[in-house]
Amino acid sequence: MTRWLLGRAAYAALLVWLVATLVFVLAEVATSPPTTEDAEGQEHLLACLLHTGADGPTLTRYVDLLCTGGLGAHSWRPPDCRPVVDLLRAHLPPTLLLGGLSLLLAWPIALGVGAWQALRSGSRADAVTTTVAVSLHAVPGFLVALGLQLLARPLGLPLTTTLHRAPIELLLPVLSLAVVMATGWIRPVRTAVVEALALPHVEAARARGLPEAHVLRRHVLPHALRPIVVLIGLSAPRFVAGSVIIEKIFAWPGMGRLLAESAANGDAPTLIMGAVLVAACVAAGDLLATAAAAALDPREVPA
Amino acid sequence: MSRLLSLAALLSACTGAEPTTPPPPREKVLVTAANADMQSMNPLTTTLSDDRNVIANLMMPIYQFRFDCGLTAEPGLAKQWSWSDDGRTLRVDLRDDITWSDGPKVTAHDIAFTYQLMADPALGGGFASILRHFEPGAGPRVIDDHTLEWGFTSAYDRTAQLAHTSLFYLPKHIFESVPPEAIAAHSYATNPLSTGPWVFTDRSPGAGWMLRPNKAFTGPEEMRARLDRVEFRVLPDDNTRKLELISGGVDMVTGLTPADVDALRRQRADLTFTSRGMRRLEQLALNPTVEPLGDPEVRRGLAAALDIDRMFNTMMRDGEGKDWGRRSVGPISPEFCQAAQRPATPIAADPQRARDALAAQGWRDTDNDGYVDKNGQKLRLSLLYASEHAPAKQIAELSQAALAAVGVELVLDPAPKAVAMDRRKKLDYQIAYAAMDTALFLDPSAAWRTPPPNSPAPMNLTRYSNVAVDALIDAGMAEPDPQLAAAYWAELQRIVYEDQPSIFLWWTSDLVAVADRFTGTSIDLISPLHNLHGWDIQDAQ
Repeated sequence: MTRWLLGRAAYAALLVWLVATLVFVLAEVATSPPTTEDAEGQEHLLACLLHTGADGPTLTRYVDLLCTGGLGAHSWRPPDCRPVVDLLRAHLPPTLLLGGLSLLLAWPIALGVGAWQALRSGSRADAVTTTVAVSLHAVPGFLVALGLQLLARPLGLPLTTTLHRAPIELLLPVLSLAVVMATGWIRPVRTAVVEALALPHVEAARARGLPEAHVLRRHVLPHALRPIVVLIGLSAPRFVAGSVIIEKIFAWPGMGRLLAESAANGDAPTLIMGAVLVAACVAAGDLLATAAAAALDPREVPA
Repeated sequence: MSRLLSLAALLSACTGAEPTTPPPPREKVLVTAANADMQSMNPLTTTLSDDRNVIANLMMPIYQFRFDCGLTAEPGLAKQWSWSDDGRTLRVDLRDDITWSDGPKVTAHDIAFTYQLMADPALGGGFASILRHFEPGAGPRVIDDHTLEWGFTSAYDRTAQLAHTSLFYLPKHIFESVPPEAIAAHSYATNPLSTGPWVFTDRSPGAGWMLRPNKAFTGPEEMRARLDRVEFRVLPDDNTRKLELISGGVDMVTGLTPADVDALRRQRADLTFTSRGMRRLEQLALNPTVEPLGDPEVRRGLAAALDIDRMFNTMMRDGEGKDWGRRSVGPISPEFCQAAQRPATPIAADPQRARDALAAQGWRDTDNDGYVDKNGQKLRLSLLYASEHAPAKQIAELSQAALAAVGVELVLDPAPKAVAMDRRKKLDYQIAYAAMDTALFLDPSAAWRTPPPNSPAPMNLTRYSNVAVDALIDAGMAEPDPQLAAAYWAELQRIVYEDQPSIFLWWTSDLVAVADRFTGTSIDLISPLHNLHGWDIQDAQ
């Protein structure tokens, strides 16, 4: 088991290294520091770049990227070209808060609704719920967000984040993200539970007259949770990279907005840091999900 | 008797005869939408004009500028000023009662120190184009604590000279111990001092910031802030900004389009729409190294093919028939009334002129496919624009349809803003959309003077070069009297328009919506927040 996990970890590290190298090469080829367009500022070069080593040898910067995951670099954001780690400190916590609360809301909804559907598999209620979930999932996230804003307006709810940061301001962005997440997870949960319900040991447990709640808790859920855990693990990048559209619409100062603005302004160091961070999260999420799935069902581990 | 007294007391209580505390007055708050987060409140390091507009409200201005056909200066921190006969020496007397919000007085040393910092190579040399006007030493001589003397290498437009001596000033007592290379990262960026009517507070990265009245303000009483606070909320999404304006979440939004005006009018009746004045020139730059764009008559022909008047009516006229801009006939903004008083005749819509000009260069439709060709090659041009900019996309699509009618295939070439700017700078385009802001005083050098060989000229989009225009710029800049300089600028306007290095589309204005309960607003060409201290709410009680 340990050897198998170490192998998976090495694979994850290889994935991160590949992504880091690829984005570094792309950035070297495709980007250059930005300039401003208005007459007053057009000559205002990024003075901060003079002191950040942005023009250092390529190899030095590449080694620095590999050693620090891009966090040792300085952004190309005027006026101070701050270390990207400072930007991360400012923008990651809001994204983790938003993503975490959305996950806390979406996961029980997906699990509850999916299991409820599975127990009524083939019924009209199952068909209607599936149609609603799939339809909602087909709606782009920005339309969900705009729709919620339109519904919230007559109720006097805050439509965006303000300087006062009242907890109620989290309602709409959390709901938007949770709807997007939950509607995507309901169907896999339902399928997993339906499959688990058909397993021989579940039928045997029922035949022994065990209470239905006990059967569900002890025999169905452990089996059904396996694909769901993998699904959540693969969603990990969303909690770190943020949702560009949701953060922009609700003026949420998170990683999604940071990375989108960096892309628009050609801020290569910040983008590299973002790409490496997302790759690391994909790898870590995959590793954790695989480990969790293996813990739930040791047959997952190759001999 | 006692019963009567008790009854009287009861009645008194019921009728509210007891003195009551009046309700506290409502806070007078302006909430304005910022399109992007601030960079820095240090005027020396920010590259955003929006930041400079905020900073202007934190500082007692050296001169108080107004714009009326051109800048005019009135006393501010500078009580009075005088010129030498040759216009090369300016002596300025400063008020002695203005203090920094941490206590010390503002002195001539602060200004001199700031200009010395601007010249420091560690700050990137971004102010070189201004500092070149000053005699060696790149700053003023301090005569005493409240008197400065500026020496110029030559006299030019007096208003521009004044503007160049009043960019901004920093507290010497804070920065004199800071190495120049550490200034950009100094905490002053988010914790600046004030000498003006407002102080900067409550910064929340990515979310916004506030201005509150400067209680330590020692300037004139009429410059004291009337509002209790001004909130800047960062709302990067266009639709969210408008939705918040409609729902009352914000009181003011800038950067609207004429189409937005129609939509907002229908949904919120208490909005006032103001044009800040025509400061932005929208144009299609034509790369002269691309055949056949090197030929001036082809360039004029393409301008005639576009039917710019119709495009203008489509994009710049609102539902009530009001124009929010003006067709451009060259590089001088109509806001400079004297210089623009003899405008050139705009090129009329005439597709045949384009066909004739192209035919004269050998481009004819020989295979009857609807597109002109030469040596078996169809005439295909690309139009580069920033994909984030919706009006640019609309202009590109209208141009594509108009040029197809004269046999030119126009391929749309959208690119992220940073990439589009970089490619424009390198002349890596065939036709490029550009919207360029003009300065508040006339200086066409950066955009229209022949650029030095092998050096970047980011404002000269087509690397335009014309010795007659260079001579007019020299003559116009050397003339201190704006009325006399106007003749040079009018001639420059005529020559450049005739050359048509870019297809000049129109001058546009930043369109601002403000809730009409605010009084004393002075949104103008200088800033949407110009003289924010005068804003008030009359019905706040």
